[in-house]
Amino acid sequence: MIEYLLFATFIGLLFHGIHRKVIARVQGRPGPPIWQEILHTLKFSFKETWIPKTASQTLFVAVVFVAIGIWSGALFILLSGGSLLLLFAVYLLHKIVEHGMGLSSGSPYGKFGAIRSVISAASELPLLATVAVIYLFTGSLSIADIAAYQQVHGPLLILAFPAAAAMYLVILSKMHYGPFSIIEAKEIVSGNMTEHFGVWRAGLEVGFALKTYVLLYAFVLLFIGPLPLGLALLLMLLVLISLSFVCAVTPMLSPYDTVTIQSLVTGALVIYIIVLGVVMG
Amino acid sequence: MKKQTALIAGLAAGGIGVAAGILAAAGYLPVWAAEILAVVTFPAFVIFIALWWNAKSGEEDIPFIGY
Repeated sequence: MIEYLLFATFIGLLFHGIHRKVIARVQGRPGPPIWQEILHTLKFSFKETWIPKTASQTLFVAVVFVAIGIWSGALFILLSGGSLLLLFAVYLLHKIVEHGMGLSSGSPYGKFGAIRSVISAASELPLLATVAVIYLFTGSLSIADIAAYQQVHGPLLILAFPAAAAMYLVILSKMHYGPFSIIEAKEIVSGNMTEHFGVWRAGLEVGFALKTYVLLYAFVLLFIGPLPLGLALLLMLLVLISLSFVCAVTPMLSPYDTVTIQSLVTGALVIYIIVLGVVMG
Repeated sequence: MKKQTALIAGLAAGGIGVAAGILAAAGYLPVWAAEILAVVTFPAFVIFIALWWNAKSGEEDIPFIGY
C-alpha cells in the first residue's frame, strides 16, 4: 500500500514538473527539466527547518501531516471504488489545510493566502454540481458503480459533457500557476505557503503531488471509465498537458473574478441539471 | 528533535505501513484496516525520514564568525 503511495507521489511530482515545462514551452522559455519538482522536494527536505516564533506550533506542523494523510486516503477511496461523497469530503478537508497553513504561520502573507482560500471556496460549487449530474445519470454515488455504468453505456465525458467541463474547472482551480491560483499569487509572496519551508514544505509538496495524481485519476475514472494503469496514466498526462496550456495562456484572475467565473459555471450547470431532471424524470 | 529519534519514528511508521500491506495481502488483516494504517503512517514516514536526514549530526564545521 505504501508502495502505491510512493508511486503516486513520484508520478504527481513528475506531473508538476511536466506542467512547468509545458507552460514554459508555450511561453517560449526553455523551462526547467521535468524532474525539477522531484529535486525541488528533495532540496526542501535538506534545508534548515524550524517553526516561526509567531506561528501556532501544533497547527503549523499538523497541516503538513493532514495534507499528506487526506490525499493518501483519497487515493485509496478511488482505488477501492468507494463513495464519491467521501472524495468530495476530502476536497473540503483540503480547504481546511489551506486555511490552517496560512493562518497558523503568523505571517501576514500567509494570512492573506488563507483569506483568499476562503474566498475561493466557490471552486467547490462546480464539484458539487458535478456530483449531482453524475448521480442523475448513474443513480449511484459509488465510484465502482459509476465505473460499471460507463462500461455499459459509454463514457460520461460524452453523455454528461457539461459535468466533465465543470470537473475540469475544479482541477484547474487547484493547479499551480493557473488562472485561479490566487492563494499562492506572487504579490503575496507564496501566499499561505510562505512560512512553510524546509521539511514542512517538502511534506506539503508530497501532499500536493498526491492531490494532483488523485484529481487527474478521478477525472479519468469518473468520465472515461476504468482503464489499465498505463492507459490511465497516459490519459491523465493528456488532461494535464491541456490544463498546462490553459495555465500558460491565461493570466491570473483577481480574487473576485475567480469567484464570478466559478459561480457562473455552477449556475450554468444547475440549469443543465434542471433541464436534465425534466428530460430524464 | 534528535537525529536518532527521527530515524526510529520514521522507520517505525514505514514498517507498520509495509507490515499492514503484507498482512492485508496475506489475508490476516482487512484491506480497509490496512488502508487506514497506511493513511496514518505514510505522513509520519515522509516527515520523520526527512527530519532524520535534515537533522545535524553534531560533527559540522564551526562556521567562521569573523575576527
